[in-house]
Amino acid sequence: NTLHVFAHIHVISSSPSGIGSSMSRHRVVAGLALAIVVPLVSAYLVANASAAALSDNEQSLNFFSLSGIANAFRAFWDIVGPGGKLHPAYFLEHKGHLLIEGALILVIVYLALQHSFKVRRHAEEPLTEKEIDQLCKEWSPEPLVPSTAGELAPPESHVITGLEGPYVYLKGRKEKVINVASSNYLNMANNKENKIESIETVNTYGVGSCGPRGFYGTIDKHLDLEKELADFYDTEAAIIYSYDVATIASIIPAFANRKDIIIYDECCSYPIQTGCTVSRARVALFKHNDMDDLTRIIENFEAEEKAKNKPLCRKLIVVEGIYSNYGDMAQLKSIWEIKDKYKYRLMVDESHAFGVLGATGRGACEHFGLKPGQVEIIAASMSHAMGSVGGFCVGDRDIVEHQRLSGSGYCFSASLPPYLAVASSHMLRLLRPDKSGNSPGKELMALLQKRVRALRDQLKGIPGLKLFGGAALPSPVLHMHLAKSSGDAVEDQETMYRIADHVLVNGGVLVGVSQYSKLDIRRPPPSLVIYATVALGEKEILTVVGALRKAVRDVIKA
Amino acid sequence: MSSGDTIAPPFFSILSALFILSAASIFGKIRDVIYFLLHPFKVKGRTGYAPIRDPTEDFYMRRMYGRIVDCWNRPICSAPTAWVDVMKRERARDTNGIDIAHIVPTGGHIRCLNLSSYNYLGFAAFDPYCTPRAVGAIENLGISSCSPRIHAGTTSVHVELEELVARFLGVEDAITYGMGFATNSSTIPALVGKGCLVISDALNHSSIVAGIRASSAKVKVFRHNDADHLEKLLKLAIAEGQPRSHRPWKKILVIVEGVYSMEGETCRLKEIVEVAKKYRAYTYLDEAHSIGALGSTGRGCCEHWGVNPRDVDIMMGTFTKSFGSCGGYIAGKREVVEHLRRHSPAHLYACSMAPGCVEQVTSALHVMMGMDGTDRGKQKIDQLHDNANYVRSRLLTMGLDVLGSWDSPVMPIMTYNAAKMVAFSRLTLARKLAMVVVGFPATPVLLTRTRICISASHTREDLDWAIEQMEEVVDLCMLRYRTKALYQLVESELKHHVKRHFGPEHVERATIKALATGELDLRRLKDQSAKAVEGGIGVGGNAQQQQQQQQQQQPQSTSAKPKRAAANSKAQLEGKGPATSPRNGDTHRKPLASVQAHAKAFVVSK
Repeated sequence: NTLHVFAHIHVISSSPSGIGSSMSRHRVVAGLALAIVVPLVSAYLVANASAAALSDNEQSLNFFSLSGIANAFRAFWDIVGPGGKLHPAYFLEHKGHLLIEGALILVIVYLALQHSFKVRRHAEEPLTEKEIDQLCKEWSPEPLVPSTAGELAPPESHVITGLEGPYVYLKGRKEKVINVASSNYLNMANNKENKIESIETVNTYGVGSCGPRGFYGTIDKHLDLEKELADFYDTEAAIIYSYDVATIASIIPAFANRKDIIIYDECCSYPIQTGCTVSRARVALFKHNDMDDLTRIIENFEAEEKAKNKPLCRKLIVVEGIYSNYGDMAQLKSIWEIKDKYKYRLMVDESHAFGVLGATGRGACEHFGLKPGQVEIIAASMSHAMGSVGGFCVGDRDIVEHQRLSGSGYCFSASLPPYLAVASSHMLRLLRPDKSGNSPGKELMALLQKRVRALRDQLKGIPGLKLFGGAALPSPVLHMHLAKSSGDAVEDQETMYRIADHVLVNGGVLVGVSQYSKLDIRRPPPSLVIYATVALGEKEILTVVGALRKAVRDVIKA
Repeated sequence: MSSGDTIAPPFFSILSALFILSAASIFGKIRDVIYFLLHPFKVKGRTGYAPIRDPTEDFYMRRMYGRIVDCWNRPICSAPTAWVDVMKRERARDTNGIDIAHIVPTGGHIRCLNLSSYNYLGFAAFDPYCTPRAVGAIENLGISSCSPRIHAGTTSVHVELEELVARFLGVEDAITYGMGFATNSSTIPALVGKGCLVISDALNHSSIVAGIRASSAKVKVFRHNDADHLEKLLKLAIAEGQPRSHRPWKKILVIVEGVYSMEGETCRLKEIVEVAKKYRAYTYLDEAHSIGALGSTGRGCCEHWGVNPRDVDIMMGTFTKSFGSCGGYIAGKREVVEHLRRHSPAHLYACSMAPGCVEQVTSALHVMMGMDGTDRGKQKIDQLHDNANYVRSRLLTMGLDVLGSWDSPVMPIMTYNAAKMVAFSRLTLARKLAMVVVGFPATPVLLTRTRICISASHTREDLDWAIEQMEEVVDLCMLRYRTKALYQLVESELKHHVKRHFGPEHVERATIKALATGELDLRRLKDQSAKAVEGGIGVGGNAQQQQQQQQQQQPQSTSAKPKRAAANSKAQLEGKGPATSPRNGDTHRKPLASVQAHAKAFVVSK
């Protein structure tokens, strides 16, 4: 019977835990049970005791003698002790447990009928409609764009009104000036035959393609260009994009997502940075051209993957063949060895190297002796040596076909205007070797190398300026930094603007000054950007160097 | 409510669609098993490298998309004008089970009616005014500048185009980029960043999504075209502030599109701009499909709804569609454009727009603004609206579920079933119609559709012929769903459209049937009301403002370009300047009444 009761108590304590099981709830239930059971039991006891007292009333109770006390105790014990009517056993034997059970059932029913009440996590009340309106009224946003006051204003862009060989005509200037600010390396953009071919295409196809590639925006000229690119690079397939900055920025997200790893050189340009941001992959930067740092980062990643026992993910190393923000080259041979050892995929942005480096003009990969297919993804802009607009990517069919479905800049953008595709094809045809292995493009590339060497040789010696990468580099991108920085980037930038202005006004040479967006993760030091092109003759190079020398002397002294 | 909300695929078509999809996937799995049993040692991909696609996606691409790959990427070998030469293709021999199906041209082509290119105003092919100018620019300034705008990429045509775009839109300044996608994806990060909130329409284009992801701003999505939901989100966002830190947002940017490319719907710009203004959020309007195509003079969504373009903070648009070129622009207040000139990556690092493309846009804008000395621009836009409304009404009376708004040249026809979509695409091509079909993942699985884009270069005969061909295909594919709610909504929208543009006296007879049979000729109504306006009724603020502005800027361009001066002044004399339609004035006088009427029309339609 006692067990019976314990069983009920157990029921009591367990039944609410079935409804809701917080500690405070247990306490409440136990309290409720006691509050109901204790008065019931005590009422029963008192009733029994008074009945017993009444039946013994002829025997007067004398509390003042010892025997009296003993008698009273005995009488009390008769009632309360074992066998007595007030002993719990007697109570239980005479169906008293039914009473307790009944009471407990009542408690359970009572609890079951209660709403389970929730403990509010946040003590705060939600905002009322009035408060929300008030908050809306109080909110004052920042202006859409920050004020430009106090910021160094870049000079107005020079407006070009006409071309003549390496010279351009500028608005507001009568004399032509030498243009070393265009990366028109092989002079394809002004090539006569190229222009005629483009104009014919405009006349038959119109200018725009009026649709994305998927929706009747694929024109036979695009297919021709893709095939020529694949043949030129000796890869399975090629894909073209309609803008240079959108090329890499859409290729990277196609090959990486949250689970994947991208490692890129800290000096990579903005399209690579934004591609990595958009992909949401785990990103790490290695020190510029530092192979030990690259190995260290890869090993860190490998150790982390192993420790967490993660499944194999896509891993990518991204570098530029020629870094557009610095003009130097990636050490592709060693990078390829590292990539091969750790089974990473390698992606090379060949924008400035394509049509410039390598025996056949395939770019930095060829320059470093890498064979077609060794580098998984090669991407490049068509707006430098090709003299057109747009970008392309070559690789295995799998790599390329994947981009046709996942490259957002390819799927969701109108395709390249057909005449620009034709202009790109024209340049590829020039590079294609004939039976003896020669091609007009090869001669142009040799000439370009001559110009690069001449420019680099003469520019490295200008006092006050420092040519990044030195004279021996075959890169046609020349960044000239200040030899002695003032320590303040804004002041240096202003000096650069003044030098460029001086060079234009007094020397008749148009040079670019690098300018970086606030979105860049790291701003390279201010520099003058000079591109070597085949159009520049020896005479023009001398003028450029002379003008720069004079400008630096005048500006830095003043 | 938008037309997309009224449709619901019929039960049987849901059932059949799911059946088809599961059958395709089961058979695909069986084929995979058989393939790997037959080639037990063939391992896909290289060992040690993770596969390029994840297995589910890979299966979908190979076994589902691979079967219907011929419906997309159809190459053409002519200008994308009213009729195109679609190249014949066939499945390549080397297509196996583990690569995506490869499909190659076999030579030869079919001449098809082009119902798919975004050639809204018909500037895609050779144009007697535009093409010689584009050719001239290539001759003078080269094929490409090979340089970003800040170095040597700014040419005289770029400067001219930016001035012209700003003038065309009636804003202070504009900046142009070489690609529409990059315009969005590089401008948004330059405007918003950490601590900023972007509220984006649910159906916004992928380039906007890319731009938001490239910025580190937080994003919330409001229900498509639902200004009430936008208000709710804005209120909550401002009240609660940034997540976790609860600091107030630095700024909030609301991004909407003028015409949604997969829905054909125009944005409820007026309501959305009002809500955004009320809560001091900035608005970003992407007019990729609406610039040139909407509004009585082609000035886009603002003109269509009578919204002052200066109330929209950032006007973005592309030159790919209506103007038959490539590239995009951002227009707005001078300081905004100035900020972008300093910080937008596509301005600083990307090669500038090719001079030929620039000149194509400039000359197309000249035609649209009547600066070429003819009324060709006006004819084009009238023809486009006439074509679009005619085809829409014909398709609706055929019993098809056609989404979208009146005047919008984009009209999706719902097929609800992937198999029907594919059948429709193949059957129409066999009948010499080049049409676009869209399915998963671009749309939800059950909302597959086929899309028509109307051009001003289509003649009435072309369109009648196309509809005749489609009648047969529609019967074969059983596409006449006749969703009543959709039809009623579209008809009430038509009545509202007619009332707003041509006055309440025509509302009675404005039915879809009347439009389809030609009893109601909107083009004639437009001409009549234009005449009435010229006859002396005053023109409201918006149009006048624009005209004044044009007059102010006229002398500048005259001095710069003596050749065009004659054409300009001639156009001015003939009154071919912007907007002389009555509704600009009407809506400007009582903007509130117009909104109320609009709201009422939608409530009634429910």
